[in-house]
Amino acid sequence: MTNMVKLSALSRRKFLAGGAAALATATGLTSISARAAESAPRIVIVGGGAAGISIANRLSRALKNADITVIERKETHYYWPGLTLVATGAWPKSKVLDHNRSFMPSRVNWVKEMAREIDPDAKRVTTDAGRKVDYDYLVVANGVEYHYGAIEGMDINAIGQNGLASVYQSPDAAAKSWDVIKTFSQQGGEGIFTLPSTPIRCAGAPLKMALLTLDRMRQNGGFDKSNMHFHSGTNGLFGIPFHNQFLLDEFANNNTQVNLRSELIAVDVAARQATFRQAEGDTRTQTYDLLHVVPPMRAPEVVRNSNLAWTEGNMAAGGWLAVDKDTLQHMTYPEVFGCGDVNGTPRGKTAATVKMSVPIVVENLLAVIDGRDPSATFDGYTSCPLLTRFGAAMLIEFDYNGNLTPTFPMIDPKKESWMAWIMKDQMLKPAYQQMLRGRV
Amino acid sequence: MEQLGLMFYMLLGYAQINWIVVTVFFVGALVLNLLALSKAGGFFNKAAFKMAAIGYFIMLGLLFVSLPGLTGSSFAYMGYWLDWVLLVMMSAGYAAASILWIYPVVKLYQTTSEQRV
Ligand SMILES: Cc1cc2nc3c(=O)[nH]c(=O)nc-3n(C[C@H](O)[C@H](O)[C@H](O)COP(=O)(O)OP(=O)(O)OC[C@H]3O[C@@H](n4cnc5c(N)ncnc54)[C@H](O)[C@@H]3O)c2cc1C
Repeated sequence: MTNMVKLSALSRRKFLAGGAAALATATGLTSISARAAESAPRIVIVGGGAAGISIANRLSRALKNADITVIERKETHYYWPGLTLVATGAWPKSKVLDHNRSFMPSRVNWVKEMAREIDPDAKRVTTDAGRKVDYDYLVVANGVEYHYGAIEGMDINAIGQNGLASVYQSPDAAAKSWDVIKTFSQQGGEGIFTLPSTPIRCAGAPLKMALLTLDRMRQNGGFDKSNMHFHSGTNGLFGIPFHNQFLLDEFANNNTQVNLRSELIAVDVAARQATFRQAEGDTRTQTYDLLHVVPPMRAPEVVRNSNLAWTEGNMAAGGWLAVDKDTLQHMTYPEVFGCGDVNGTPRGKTAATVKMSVPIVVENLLAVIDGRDPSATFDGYTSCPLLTRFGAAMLIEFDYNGNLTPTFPMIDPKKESWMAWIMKDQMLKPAYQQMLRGRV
Repeated sequence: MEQLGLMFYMLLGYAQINWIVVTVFFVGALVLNLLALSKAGGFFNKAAFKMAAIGYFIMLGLLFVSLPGLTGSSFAYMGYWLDWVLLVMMSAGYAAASILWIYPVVKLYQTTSEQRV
């Protein structure tokens, strides 16, 4: 056999095996031995958001005898990706609220408390009510912590007053943010949008907020009466060079001054003043009529303070979960997996990442239960429907390396389209809910 | 394959989220068709078919011009061939669904007019 033929035979085998694996993953059917399928491991899932509920559904289908516990106090489910539309007046708040019980599988033990301590050596989670839950396997899926406290003078209760907006905090805060954005879009003035230097969930959301606000200003008459500023704590606006340039051009064309390496460090809510630390280390204070704050983010305290967090590297400062970026298995504790925003992996803090990584986590966890090594690998899939204005968007999908990876190859991620808008406005929430049910 | 699965579940989820509208639509269609069947007799009616076909094209045209606006967008943002394909498909699909209402209504209208004459 020539090398070429050998190679193509190998590729064909790989392709077929890959296809079968993809099919199994897509349909939620992961092959495990009968022994593993019949086993009754104790599995604890910390966090019942997008990742936690989705994993609970898949695991409860795959392991009929498993004792699965979800630790999550919140009974209301937030559809976070809809918050940008609430904060810009396109959706009512009710559209992003649901009941966790509608998605939680009936067979799991739902402990309506918060995890206060994780001891991976003792394989035990302790809740804030003092309950101790022992596990054989643990999935950490408790999202992020908004660190508004890192901004001196910032008061989340003041969102919606005195020109202060912040879409991230909660659906309530998003609705209140719309009140101030609406007034600003009519009256105009000094408008400031921020982006912190920490990893954040949905890195496109701060940009969507700015672009949609500009559109509202054009609709409501405030555009010509305003000076707009975008302060980014990083070297750019977006991690993909093409889209970074697109955004710089878009802001330049819309009278918005972009300040790079300029991080919001203090707010005087009453005086409407925001202070930024600049690249050179000096500070600059600006008055505003609208300030949209994006908080720095870090892993929730229970992870930060445990042995599960990174202790070195660029993820250590935020205390992010130390998982292998390919298998999503913990670096030191093989019975621990991470899923969703809490993971200390490059890029990828989106619901779309959750959608693609849940089947990987489940497959690898089942492999470990089965006594095998985890073999499914995650490519870091991240997606951001970048809303460029009301009615148009770019559907940007990419992997760990920043390669564009469109799900539907005919959708050009570099073009604004009505189709991408329809996806975001109408189709992504249904897809998200199917993901929660463990189907997509 | 994966894309087809995703599309299927997206549409299923869309129908689930809008279950009230979907239910009202199908119950309405069922009632109208049963009524037309009992009052107008028989399912096939050439004249009604013709009228319904005209109704289909009127509906398709109306949807084509109004869907971008109804979805919070505008023709100005449809700069991409895929947008036009989607617009044609959506207009054709919704217009086809509307036939489930238009056809029995036309039949009932014809029957009442014939009875009056
Ligand atoms: C404004 C905004 C816009 C976004 N837009 C998009 C978008 O367009 N597209 C997209 O794909 N993604 C978007 N996202 C990101 C997406 O919502 C998140 O990536 C996704 O929700 C992550 O899922 P998760 O399960 O990791 O976290 P979550 O869904 O937040 O779930 C974490 C859960 O853990 C619980 N928890 C926290 N601490 C504990 C504890 N100690 N014990 C027990 N439970 C705990 C929380 O109560 C929460 O319910 C957006 C997010 C925001 C905020």
